[in-house]
Amino acid sequence: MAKSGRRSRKTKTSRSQVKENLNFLPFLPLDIIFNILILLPAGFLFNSVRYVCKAWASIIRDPAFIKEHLFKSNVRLLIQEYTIPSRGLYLDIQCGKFSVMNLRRCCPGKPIDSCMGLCLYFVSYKCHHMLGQKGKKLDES
Amino acid sequence: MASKGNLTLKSCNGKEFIVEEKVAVMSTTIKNMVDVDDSFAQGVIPIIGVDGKILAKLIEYCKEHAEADEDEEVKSEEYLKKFDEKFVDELNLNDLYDLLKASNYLEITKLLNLLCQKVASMIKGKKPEEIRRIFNIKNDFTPEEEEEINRQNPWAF
Repeated sequence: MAKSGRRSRKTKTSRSQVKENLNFLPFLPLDIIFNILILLPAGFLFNSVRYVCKAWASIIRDPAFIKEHLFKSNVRLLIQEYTIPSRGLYLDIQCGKFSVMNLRRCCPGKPIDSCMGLCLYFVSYKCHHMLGQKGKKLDES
Repeated sequence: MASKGNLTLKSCNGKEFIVEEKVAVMSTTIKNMVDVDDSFAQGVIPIIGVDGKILAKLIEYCKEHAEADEDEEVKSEEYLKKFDEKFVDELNLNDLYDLLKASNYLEITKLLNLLCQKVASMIKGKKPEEIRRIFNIKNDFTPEEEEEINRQNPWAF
């Protein structure tokens, strides 16, 4: 009995909250939403935020947003041995402090080049790997 | 009539606030108005689209930060951090929304960043349905379109 009473009270508050929420974010200017979304981590934007609505998805897809997001994210140094396969490490530098993070996967081959957070690896004459930030595999060719 | 060094700001519902110039010019928009035209500094500056309640909040924030910029010893960085935390915690969603728009229009960058951080922390880690529920956003994707985004870049993340 007591339990159901508590439950009904809960629905009441959530209903009044919904009322209070009317006219919130979707009516904010897009540049404010841009400024909010830029603060969120890339993986979360990709897995959750871009499914919220079309307007948000198109902000996240926008090359200007992607570039700005990259520049806002923490700078990491990728350190790896020049052997195949070798384990890589990320070195984070934040507020004058260093922290080391293990790369999730083995580096697949010799690093050839890197640009804007992407690394290109030579694996064999038939295969190149590209790794994105946090060592996620992006493409193979 | 404001005395020298003070400015009078008038909200859209007619409330007037007399504030020190150093507080008012935390807003880049107001700073530009005063710099360009001296008559603004003597008369009343209308703040279009911002009501008295929100303007009072804006002034409260700018006052603390302007004083801290002037004298770091009285208002330390730690004090400001606590003030900022309390300031955003006490806001309900409607005020948060109005303050976001007002600080964007008045170009109070520090406050705008603080409020964006707050909203980002409310979104962080939530599922799309939860985000829509919190902010009352309508899902305007058709099932086919949702399928289509799922197909885009399946390799990343």
